[in-house]
Amino acid sequence: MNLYKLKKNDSFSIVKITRSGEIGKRIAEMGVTKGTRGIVVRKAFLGGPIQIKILNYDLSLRKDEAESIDVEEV
Amino acid sequence: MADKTIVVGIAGNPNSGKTTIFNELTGAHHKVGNYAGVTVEKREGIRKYKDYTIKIYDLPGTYSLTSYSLDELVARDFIIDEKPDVIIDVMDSTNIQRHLYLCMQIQEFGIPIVGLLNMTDEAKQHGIEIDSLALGDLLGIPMLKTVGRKKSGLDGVFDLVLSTYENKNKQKKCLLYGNELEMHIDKIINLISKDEKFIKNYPPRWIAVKLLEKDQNVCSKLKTNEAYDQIIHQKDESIKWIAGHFNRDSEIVVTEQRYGYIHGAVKETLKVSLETKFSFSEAVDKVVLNNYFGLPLFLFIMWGIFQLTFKLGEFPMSILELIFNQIGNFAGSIIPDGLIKSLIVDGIIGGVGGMLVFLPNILILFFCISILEDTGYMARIAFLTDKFMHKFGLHGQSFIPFVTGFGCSIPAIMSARTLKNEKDRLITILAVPFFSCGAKLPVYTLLISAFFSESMSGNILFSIYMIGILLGLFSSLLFRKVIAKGISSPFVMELPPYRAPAAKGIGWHMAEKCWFYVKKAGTLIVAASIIVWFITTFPQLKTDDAKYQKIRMDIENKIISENGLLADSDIRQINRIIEVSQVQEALEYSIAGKIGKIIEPVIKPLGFDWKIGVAIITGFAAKEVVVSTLGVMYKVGSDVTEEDDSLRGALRNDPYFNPLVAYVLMLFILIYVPCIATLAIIKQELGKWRWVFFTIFYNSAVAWLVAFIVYQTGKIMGLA
Ligand SMILES: Nc1nc2c(ncn2[C@@H]2O[C@H](COP(=O)(O)OP(=O)(O)O)[C@@H](O)[C@H]2O)c(=O)[nH]1
Repeated sequence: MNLYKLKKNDSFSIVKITRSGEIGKRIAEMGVTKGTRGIVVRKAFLGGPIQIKILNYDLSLRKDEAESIDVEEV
Repeated sequence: MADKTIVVGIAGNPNSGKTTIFNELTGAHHKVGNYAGVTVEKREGIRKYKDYTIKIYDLPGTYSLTSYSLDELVARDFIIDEKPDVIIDVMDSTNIQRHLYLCMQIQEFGIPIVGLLNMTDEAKQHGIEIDSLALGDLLGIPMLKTVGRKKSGLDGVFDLVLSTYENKNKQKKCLLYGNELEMHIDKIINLISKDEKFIKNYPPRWIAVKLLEKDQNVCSKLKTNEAYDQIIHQKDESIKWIAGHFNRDSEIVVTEQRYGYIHGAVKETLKVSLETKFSFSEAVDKVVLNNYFGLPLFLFIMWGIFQLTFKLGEFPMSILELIFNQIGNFAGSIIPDGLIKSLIVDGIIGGVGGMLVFLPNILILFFCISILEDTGYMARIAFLTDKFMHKFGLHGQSFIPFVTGFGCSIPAIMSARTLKNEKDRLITILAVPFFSCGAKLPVYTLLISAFFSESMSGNILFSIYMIGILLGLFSSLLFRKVIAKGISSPFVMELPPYRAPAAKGIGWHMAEKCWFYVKKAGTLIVAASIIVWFITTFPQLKTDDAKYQKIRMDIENKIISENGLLADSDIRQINRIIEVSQVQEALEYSIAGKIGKIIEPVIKPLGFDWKIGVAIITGFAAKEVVVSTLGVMYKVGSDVTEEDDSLRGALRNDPYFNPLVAYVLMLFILIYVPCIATLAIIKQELGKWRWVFFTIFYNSAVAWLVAFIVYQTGKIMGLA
């Protein structure tokens, strides 16, 4: 399941980044790596960005970037 | 013992408190410059400590050293090329893992590091307790706990820096990537190390890891290595193997392993005593990022800043204008009439004054922007506007420069520095001039009031602004497709916790901005003002006294024959007519006038004659100049304002002018080449003349096209 499918306040554990190249690497470097847990803080409406909390900080991602992160709900 | 000099770089993620600590460590002794060829600010300070002279550089805040953004490239080049003796890495204790990621990358390069675990006060509130000694031992990096804002924990920094420097040759620890990766790293290291000269410059382990991360930059560095072909071959094999084995790209595997190592170290040394309770930032975000109030609130704040910048700025601006007028008058009174006087008064003093009057606006705007940035609100703005801006190939943060552009393009273009991606910044800067600036307003006001009824004027003005906005947005899209190809930078952005801005930092920030503006743009603007002075002054026309004497006589005779006598007011009137005729004739004779005539065929299809051509040309200096040039061209004097009835009447009575031509002229003024000051700032901010010429060409072409279409359509529809 991809991250953008989750709803506000859902907790997740990261499985894999499916995007390759610069963007995938960038996302991983911000700490979005296998096994890291987080929570969805909010989603802007109309397909706007998503805000998540991982490693005790807030990270925002665009819809298509969030869609390239596979997660499992926990 | 003789003094030794060592070079220290301060690195860290954005918002780690790096600048605060840099300021504390260097005291007031620092200077600001730019990194060669780029607009990333470079701060450097000097400190004497014990026998050492310590040179301290503040590196741009970055999350990693992957060299995707300009900031990262600068930080990385500094570390690789200047090889500082020690790096001080400032980290935020509240999310230490992500901050350690950068730290590990620097360590890999083999430079001695001192880690500062900053924000310990906030960490405590979160119930986070880090055993800094154990963590330091584990990673092989000496660590100190600090609170930058309260200056606590900073006393021992220099001692630690020196002892780290003196022990730099001791056995170092390094991050291990797990058996599978290490096997491949070893293979590559063996090949690299065959070239002994090469490994003197670059640590082989670092090169090997970077190759597995598919780093292009390192690949090109490798070209000097004797075993280049073999290495590349091995690299490709390894990357393929890793991707197959781990079922993900090798650069992501490397990143995950690094984080794995960090998580392992942090697990053993960090305790969370209480679960997070109330979060101030989240409470604020509930309102600020609310789906319904978020955007209106932001627009309101923007509106407020705008008002502050241009309304509050008006007062010091008028004082500056007055001062420069006085200086001009004074210089005019002591310098004998002639060319020198005209050069100094109109060219130089006018040019410098014209540039400095923007200073209050710039100051106020940057004060506001600093606050937005330092509090953390800027990231929220990007969050709110990204969806819309992304449609036009832009980033959420382009919004601020665009809105500011309605006031003045100069601060707007400078504020594009908040964009971290080079392409985003380029597109934003090139699009800013389409957002109609305040100096164009007098031109609109004049033409609208002369040719349109009061009930129409609001709509006309609105349509002009809207056309500008649309052109700006669609030009951005075009630029993204053609000159800055590729997707807009990823929106993977930290939303930092809200913090009260530090007054000291903001003061510095503003002082720096102003100084840059004055120094860099100043010279260009003055040079350009002199050019405009030159083309409107030369070649000089010898005043034909006899001719004007005759004109004077004719008018006088006419008045006397009508009224029987010549009143004082009549004489003043006549003097004025004569003077304006002379100025007009001189202007017609000057280079500017000749250019006006030459370009007449080009602007004829837009409904403009050569007089409008001259006004357009003088508009290069500053848009408001268009009004005074029209004043001269229509013989009502150059001291006219847009409210002046005589100019309005003169325009209305000109057979050439009509509402259609007026509207097309407004469009043309809106779109064509921005003023000289703006061009100078574009040169300063983008570094290359290429973009200045691009702007001149592109904006003129669009202006001509739009004006042509509107005029010709209007004519067909019978509006002319
Ligand atoms: N609570 C707290 N705030 C700090 C500390 N150090 C710096 N700050 C604040 O954190 C914000 C960001 O600091 P700054 O030096 O601009 O960070 P930079 O982006 O890394 O240069 C500012 O508002 C500082 O006043 C600290 O140790 N504790």
